[in-house]
Amino acid sequence: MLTLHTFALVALSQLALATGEVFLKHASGSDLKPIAHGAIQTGWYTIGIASMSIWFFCWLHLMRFFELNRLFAFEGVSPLLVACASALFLGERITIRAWFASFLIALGITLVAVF
Amino acid sequence: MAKTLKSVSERPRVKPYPSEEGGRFITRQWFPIGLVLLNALLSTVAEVLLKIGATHPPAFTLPEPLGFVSAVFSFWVGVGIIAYLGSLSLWLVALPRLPLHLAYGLSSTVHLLVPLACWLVLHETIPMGRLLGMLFILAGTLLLGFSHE
Repeated sequence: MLTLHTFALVALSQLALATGEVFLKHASGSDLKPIAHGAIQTGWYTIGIASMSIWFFCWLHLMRFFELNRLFAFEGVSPLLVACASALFLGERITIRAWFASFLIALGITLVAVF
Repeated sequence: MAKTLKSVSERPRVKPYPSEEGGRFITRQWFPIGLVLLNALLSTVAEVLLKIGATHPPAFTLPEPLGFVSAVFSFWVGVGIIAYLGSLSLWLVALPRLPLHLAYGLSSTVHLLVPLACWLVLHETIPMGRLLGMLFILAGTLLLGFSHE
């Protein structure tokens, strides 16, 4: 059942997953950002892996409260967060199609939360 | 002028993008595409194993406030973590061989595979409204995966 406690855990898990992905991408470099080296790169990787670990334990804990098919639908939030974080922190562009996709995902998650 | 023509003819042929070759791209890139699809399948297996492990009592329980870590001592969670590491390895092998948007789009098939596995393996019931929501999420993640420029 979706309570305030489980909702907060779902939000935290997806935020941690998106943060982890962005930090790992930041550590490995991209077309727009050069690859960091040495201690800085290790630091980005460490934050990325730590965030992923937070996601993993939250997710494992949430599996006790939800049917998997319902819980997994909330994973749809992470592509949205990653797209927004990529635009904000990695300088990537969000297209009109991506905004439309975001709307579809948000609509889908609302339906899953209600039914 | 002759020199210019020669230099143009000698210019290396640019590797075509998927849109330029259509179906031939899939034939040529079957190996990384297969890896990404296998990655989605392994992720689904991992999710199901983690769910089974999370709902069974672990072999060893840690005292509070570390109680939430106890689930990792379950056999099924252990196998699930191995499956996750396997899927991550396949993803890392496939990623340099495929455009990111294509790999990300293909990997979103997990949004179809996981509910299917829930229904077939875990015998969960999926109401029509939730199924419709899942289809919207699948369509959205696919569209998001293929929306990069």
